[in-house]
Amino acid sequence: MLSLMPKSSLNLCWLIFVSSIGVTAEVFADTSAASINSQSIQVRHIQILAASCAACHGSNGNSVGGTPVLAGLDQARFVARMLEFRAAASSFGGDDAPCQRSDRAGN
Amino acid sequence: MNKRRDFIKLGVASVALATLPACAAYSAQTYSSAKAPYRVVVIGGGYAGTAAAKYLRMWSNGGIEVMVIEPRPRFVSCPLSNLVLGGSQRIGDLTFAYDILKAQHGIQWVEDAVSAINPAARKVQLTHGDLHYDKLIIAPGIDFIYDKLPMLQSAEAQQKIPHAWKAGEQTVNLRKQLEAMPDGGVFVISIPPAPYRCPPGPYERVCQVASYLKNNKPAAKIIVLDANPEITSKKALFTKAWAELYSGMIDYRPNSEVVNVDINTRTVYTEFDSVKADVLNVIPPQRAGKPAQMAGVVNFDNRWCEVDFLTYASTVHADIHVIGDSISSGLPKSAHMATSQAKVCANAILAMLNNEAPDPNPVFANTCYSFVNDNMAMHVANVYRYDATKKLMLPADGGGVSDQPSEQEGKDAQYWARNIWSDVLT
Repeated sequence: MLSLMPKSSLNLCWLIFVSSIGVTAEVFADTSAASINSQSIQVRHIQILAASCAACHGSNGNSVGGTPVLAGLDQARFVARMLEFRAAASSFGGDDAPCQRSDRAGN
Repeated sequence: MNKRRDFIKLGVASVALATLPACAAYSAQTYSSAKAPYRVVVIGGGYAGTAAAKYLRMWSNGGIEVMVIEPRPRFVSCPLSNLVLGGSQRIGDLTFAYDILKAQHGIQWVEDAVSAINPAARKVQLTHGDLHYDKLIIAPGIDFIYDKLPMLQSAEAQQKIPHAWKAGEQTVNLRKQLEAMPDGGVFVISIPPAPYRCPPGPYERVCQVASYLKNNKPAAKIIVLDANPEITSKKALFTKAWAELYSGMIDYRPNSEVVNVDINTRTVYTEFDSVKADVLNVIPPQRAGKPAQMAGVVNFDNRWCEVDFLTYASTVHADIHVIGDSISSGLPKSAHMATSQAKVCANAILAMLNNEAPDPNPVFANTCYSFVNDNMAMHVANVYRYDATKKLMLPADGGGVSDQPSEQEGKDAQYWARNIWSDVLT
């Protein structure tokens, strides 16, 4: 099932993304590798940023339903999709709108 | 940094242990804390406390000991609990065990109540012993203020006039009272002055009660006594929903703080008026939960806890962190917000225990759905960034609210709940 993402939720995803545009590619590649061992400031920033998505997209991006699974998403694809979000933010709709989401496991 | 790993100290150690189920379960844990250099104690197993505990264990690869203190045996979600009043959800649908969370993340768990906190000695005293911590996270949710309405403080009074602002028995009680109310009866709800837990929650509750009454007792009326000058969240959307879905049923009265209650007759008094109810729901004013009061970290308005938004460390005691509804932040007291704060706090604690700096620019999101009937919902969503000048989390441009409630957003809200439950409970 495909359905249009609510406008403001779309903005939410976009805003989260632009907050870390230079480093977002790392987000879903490695969100759980922090340890009591040393972490860079940048990694900590990304961990916090990505963890905030969990309320809708599940822990570490493993959605249990209703939202896309982000875990393991190809980095280039993810970045491209978020950039498409921005381009479409003012005119979303239509079959090929990037702000569509597909339901995944769990429903 | 003190690296002792003392276990619960019982007055009569081994003998008492066998008679105390919670402590016995703790001592029987196969998980070993012998190698963990630090212990973080988390007071509270709600959205904030569970998220903090899980992410501390997950992000440290199990490298630190995490111990949660929670007196209640099960988690009951406040989000979606207004639907119990509307009748489309049952409390059992919103009630979960902590077992999976504990087992999957090796979280120590003590089912007990906190009786005292000693910040100087870094100790938490429980009914059945005491615990040493290296870092303490206080996530107790809200406590009610009964200074102005002392007649509502007893369990007997709340049996008759429930607040139902902590999901559970009182939610079920209020639903039963609505079921027993005669058609043509009056439901009265009193909304406390902001800030309180879940800003749109009271108005969603009005929708849920109206939805039930419209279908079952169409001659019934609802009177909303709001201590605030106007609807505090999603105002335009709620105003429209009330007019379109429940026309003629809801009498909204702003600037109407309840100053007295006659429990026997279910009559509420505002400064200039009195209203007799058939079913009465008084949501009292709120403040930081009792453990925060015990720790002496309630330092704003005598109600809330001031924290550093990079670490959630109390501005009173550096080794005590406060997250969730108890803090003074100017942000909505929501479940998503509580988990977002918990994750910033957990991440910062791991940095600090490793003598590293926390993220200097935390960014996180908050989403909040409200149901207007059985299946239609609307949302507010925002991203918040740390402002280094103001030392506050401030909303970024571009967030906002739904154009209108919809069935799609009703589904989104249910999926949101499933994902956040999964995030904090598994």
